Amino acid sequence: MANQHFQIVIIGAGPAGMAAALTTTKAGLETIVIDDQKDSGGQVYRNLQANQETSPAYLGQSYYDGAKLAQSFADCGAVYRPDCTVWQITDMHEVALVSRGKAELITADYIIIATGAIERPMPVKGWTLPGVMSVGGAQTLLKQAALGADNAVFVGSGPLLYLTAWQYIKAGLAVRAVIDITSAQQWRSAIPFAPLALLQPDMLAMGRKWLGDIRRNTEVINHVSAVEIIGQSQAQTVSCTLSSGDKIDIDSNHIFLHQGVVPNVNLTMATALAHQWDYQAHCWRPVIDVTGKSSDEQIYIAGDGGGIGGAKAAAIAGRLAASAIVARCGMPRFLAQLYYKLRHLHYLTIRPFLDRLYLPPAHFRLAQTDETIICRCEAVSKAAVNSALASGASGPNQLKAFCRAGMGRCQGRSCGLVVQEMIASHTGQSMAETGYYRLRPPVKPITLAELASLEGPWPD
Amino acid sequence: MARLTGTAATRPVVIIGAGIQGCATAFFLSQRGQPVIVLEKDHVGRHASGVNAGGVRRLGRDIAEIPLSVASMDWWNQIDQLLDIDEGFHRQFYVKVALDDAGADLASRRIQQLHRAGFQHETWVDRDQLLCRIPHLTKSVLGGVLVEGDGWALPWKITRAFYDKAAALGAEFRCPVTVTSIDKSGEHWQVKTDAGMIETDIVVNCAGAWGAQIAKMTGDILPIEAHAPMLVITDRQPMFLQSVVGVMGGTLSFKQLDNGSMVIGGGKRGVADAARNLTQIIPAGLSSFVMTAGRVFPHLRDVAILRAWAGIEGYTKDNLPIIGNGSQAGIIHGFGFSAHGFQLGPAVGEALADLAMARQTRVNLTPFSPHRFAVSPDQAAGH
Repeated sequence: MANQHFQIVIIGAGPAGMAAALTTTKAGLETIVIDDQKDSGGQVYRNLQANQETSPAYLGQSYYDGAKLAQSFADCGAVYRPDCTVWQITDMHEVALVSRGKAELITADYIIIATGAIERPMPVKGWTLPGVMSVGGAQTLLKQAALGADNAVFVGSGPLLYLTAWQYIKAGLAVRAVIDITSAQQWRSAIPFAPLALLQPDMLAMGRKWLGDIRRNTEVINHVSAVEIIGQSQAQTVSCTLSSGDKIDIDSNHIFLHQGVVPNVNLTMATALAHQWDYQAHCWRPVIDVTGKSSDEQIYIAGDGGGIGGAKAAAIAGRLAASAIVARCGMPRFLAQLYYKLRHLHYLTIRPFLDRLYLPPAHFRLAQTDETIICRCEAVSKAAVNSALASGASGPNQLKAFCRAGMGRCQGRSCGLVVQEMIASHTGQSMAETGYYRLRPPVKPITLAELASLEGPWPD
Repeated sequence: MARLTGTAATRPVVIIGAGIQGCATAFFLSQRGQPVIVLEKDHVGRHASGVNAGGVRRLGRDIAEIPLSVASMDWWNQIDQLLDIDEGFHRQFYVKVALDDAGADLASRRIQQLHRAGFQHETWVDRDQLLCRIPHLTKSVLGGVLVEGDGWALPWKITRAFYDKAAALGAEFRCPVTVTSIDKSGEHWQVKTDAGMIETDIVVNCAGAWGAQIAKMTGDILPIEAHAPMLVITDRQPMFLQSVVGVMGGTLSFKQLDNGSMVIGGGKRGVADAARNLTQIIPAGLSSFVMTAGRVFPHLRDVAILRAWAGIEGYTKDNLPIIGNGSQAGIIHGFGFSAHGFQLGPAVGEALADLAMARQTRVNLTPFSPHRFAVSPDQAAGH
């Protein structure tokens, strides 16, 4: 079967992917948008169309701000393929995907990767107990299924945590406490960048509103130096140690962890694009130029996957990458590109402040106790990683062979950064020198029958 | 040069490459008290030796290779004691199943051919026996060719164990160190690297897919091609398989590891970029051998694949390895295993150690002589 061909393949239908499609289709370029969700919107505007019918106020105005973009996207004329798993991009620019149990290869002149962000792992003791989940997961349940839990405790820091706690409160759920790990030191390093952040007064005002409402409605615990979750077969208590040395125990069966988001680099790394370590945001990001062009001339990266900027910056980044491609297709877009570049810069003015304020300190990025699980898929503890380091594992890929960390289903999404930092602090090398796991297709698991379907139907 | 007579040389033997052949050679030499230095451009078991399918089989080998494979199996059967490890070799059976008449026909010709050559280790098992031993096999199987006592091992674990044991016995490993030239200087060789020069009487080239480059530095033109055979590993499943399964007339290797994951290889090649240590997976190739796996085990339809990968390996024109003395005294080659060198590793290590100490080898190495490809450098340049 001949591969399908499109001028533009966009992977991801969040704000960046949707906005990019508006620009490419308007320029008359044949565009396909492939997404792994059932509806467009990405994580930030998840399930927006369905929620609009009842419009629960607790999801907040910033959520419903996505409606216009989602509607324009639905009308733009791009071929839209929801519920698809992209599992590889070859160096021939074939995008390999699985849809309804069948694998396909789609070739492209240009590919825009808009696969967004993932949450930074927060490996506190007990984080693998039932009842503990990420704040992103809790928010997904709220948006997708109007599911929430009373008496939950939010632990960590960052805009998504405050937004979700705020949404919980507005939804009428009793939030037991917010344990905020932001330290005075982080405030001191962020304050010099506050004037720049004032260029985004709306975002600052929104954050203040969330924090104010949270303070008025639940207990907020600050000055936290350590957290652990205690329970036998399920989470029962969060125990936090304050910098004063005092301990506070809070009983809860629902504990939501979050300490920021990082670019989801699994697809871009598996595609062998160049990446660099971002010392300010403490994460990997693909090497891209101002328009989003990666180390492969035909591949662009837009949105949080290229560096965290939030939903609005992502939509502009999608426009910008698409305009740059349109220009390369012979339709100059000088003014549009200039306009998007300036607006993108404008949206990013809040990042230096937020990155410094909410970069979790090392003792929350790394596990504190030997028995804490680092690699959740293969159940590898901190002690096991350390013993691999002691036996001479000198990098993330060797470490995989020594102790299996990073060899499970998630391909390192939940342990990669932790393992990397453990190696760096063991060897004394920088995070950039230490490097990351070599990532392999399929970027997400697919079944044997799905893979074999490129050849034909599975034998009975 | 002073001819060694089965005794240890004073200068360390220099082994290039810390894959299984280099590590096993270092182990046997160290065991005999011969000082060795192993130079590795990446890290131990980084390429084919660390990431191959792990098949430990005599089944299906070229007749020329069988004596070496049989000799190696002696070592595999005592690998735990040899290397101080646990469960190093999963001794099971290895079967190539016939899925159609063409496969059955191939099987009977293969067995006759082996009998004529005096080998009895491969035997035919019929459908009922086979289904009794592997109940999950497709019911349409016709039978298969089987070798009792073949099995599998974890490649990285074994390569690493040879390294650990060799190092414990005094072998010196230097990595990452890249060899830049090998020059004759009077009676001995100067091995120049990006981390200094080493003088030696004996150089053993175990550089795998990069073996031809090293050989060329010694004046031997031994053409090999780098390829990257692909493998996939699946999610864990309840244990159902205590053997390794292939197909007659096709390329498949299928095994289930102790943790329940299955490793599926199929000889299909990805893209190898030996100069940059990179491989690329080709989806259509993966699909093809996964389909073959489906024909053998149809019940695995919905099992998830976690990863596909490929290792860089050197292939010769006749798919037999290059093992033996080079054209100049003091140069010994052991590479080009063409994706079936893992099981041979222990016997090859022993043989290369014998050559390095000018001892008689246990197995006749004539079929693997580097000279079968003899081309003078002038001829090579003329092409």
